[in-house]
Amino acid sequence: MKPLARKRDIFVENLPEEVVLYNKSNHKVHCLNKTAAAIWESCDGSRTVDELGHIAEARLGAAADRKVVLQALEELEKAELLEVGSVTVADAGLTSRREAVGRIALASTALVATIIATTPVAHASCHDRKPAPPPPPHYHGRG
Amino acid sequence: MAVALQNTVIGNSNLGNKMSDPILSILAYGARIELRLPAALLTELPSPIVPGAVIDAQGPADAVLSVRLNHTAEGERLFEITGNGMFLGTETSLQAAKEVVESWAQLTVATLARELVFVHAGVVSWRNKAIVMPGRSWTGKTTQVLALVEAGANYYSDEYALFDSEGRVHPYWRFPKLKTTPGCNVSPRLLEGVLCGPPPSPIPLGWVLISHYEAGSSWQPRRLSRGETMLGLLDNTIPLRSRPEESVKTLARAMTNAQGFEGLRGEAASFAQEALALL
Repeated sequence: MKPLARKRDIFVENLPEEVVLYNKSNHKVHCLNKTAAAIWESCDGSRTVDELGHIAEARLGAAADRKVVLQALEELEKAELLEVGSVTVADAGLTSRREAVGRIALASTALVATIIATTPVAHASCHDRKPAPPPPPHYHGRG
Repeated sequence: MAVALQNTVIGNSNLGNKMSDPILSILAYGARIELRLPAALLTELPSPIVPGAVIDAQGPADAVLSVRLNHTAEGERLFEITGNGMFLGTETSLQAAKEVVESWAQLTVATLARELVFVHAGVVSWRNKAIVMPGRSWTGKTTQVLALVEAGANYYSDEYALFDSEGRVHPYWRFPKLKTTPGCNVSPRLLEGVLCGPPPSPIPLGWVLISHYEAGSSWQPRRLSRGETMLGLLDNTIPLRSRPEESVKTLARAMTNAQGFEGLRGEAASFAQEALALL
């Protein structure tokens, strides 16, 4: 398994400790913690899970074992931030999400947090009641 | 707060109606919108209909709202509302039609504004920094804002936080719209004098408070990372889909020296005291 980061249609904003990504193709916004960010940025399609772990360790200055890398890859895959077919976490020995989370030493919260960008209409003020349904057929105009 | 007709009507529509409706063209934050309304409705609108808007008919409109007055066979009034050529619905009362027009105008400007990024949020200033409380409608933004003002903060907005390219927060200088909620004992009246004056200057973002109401709770929030806080703001950013890069960059800049918190809150008055004590 040599995962490849999906970077097409994705806008990247680097924060001091995290990365915010906007996927223009599905309007999802992701916040990657530093562990997930280091792994995602290193997924060039040529590196194995172990190699990604070594790179993450070097970048973060802390241990990033195989379970951590697999957990990050699973979350990145679910977030559609890896090219389809470049990673199949289910086949890579990750026994369960719960087990993996329990072993994560570097990530204090979710590795990848996601929201979906809303359309403006979701923010319409409800005190301004929504317009009523179309008028009944018996009305006539006087305009 | 009815508006003087002669101050706002700048033309008449030529849409083939039997009676030409007045046209109100406004420019706000770089967005130009046109409202074609029956005179009876136009005179009921607040002035300006969008805070910071000026009358302007120079150039094509970015968006057009039309309201046509009809009547049912029983003589009941029907306000037929069309936005950008698409039928939106009808209202039978003048008050309801007015609210729809006002809401449409403000949301449309928030969406199309070219100069600022609009985030759906209440805003007050505290120690010369902005406290921004993002949230959808009916989540208690206005109530929180008024409670914070009562506790000593200064009013900026009960609807939108306006971020400029440097990340500063601008006021959205309108009279707060308090929805009727049980147990709410704060009043927008405390701002009547304040809002007669000029709007305050833009200020840096200090804190983002993301709260969820739960009766009996006290405000004991957890600190959010910068990225988590940004997600909370982006979740309420009006032009996020249309201008994602600008929105993300602007909010990242605003977050440079800001701290986000998230947690449960109880009643507005106690939340306000607890929040200000924490900051």
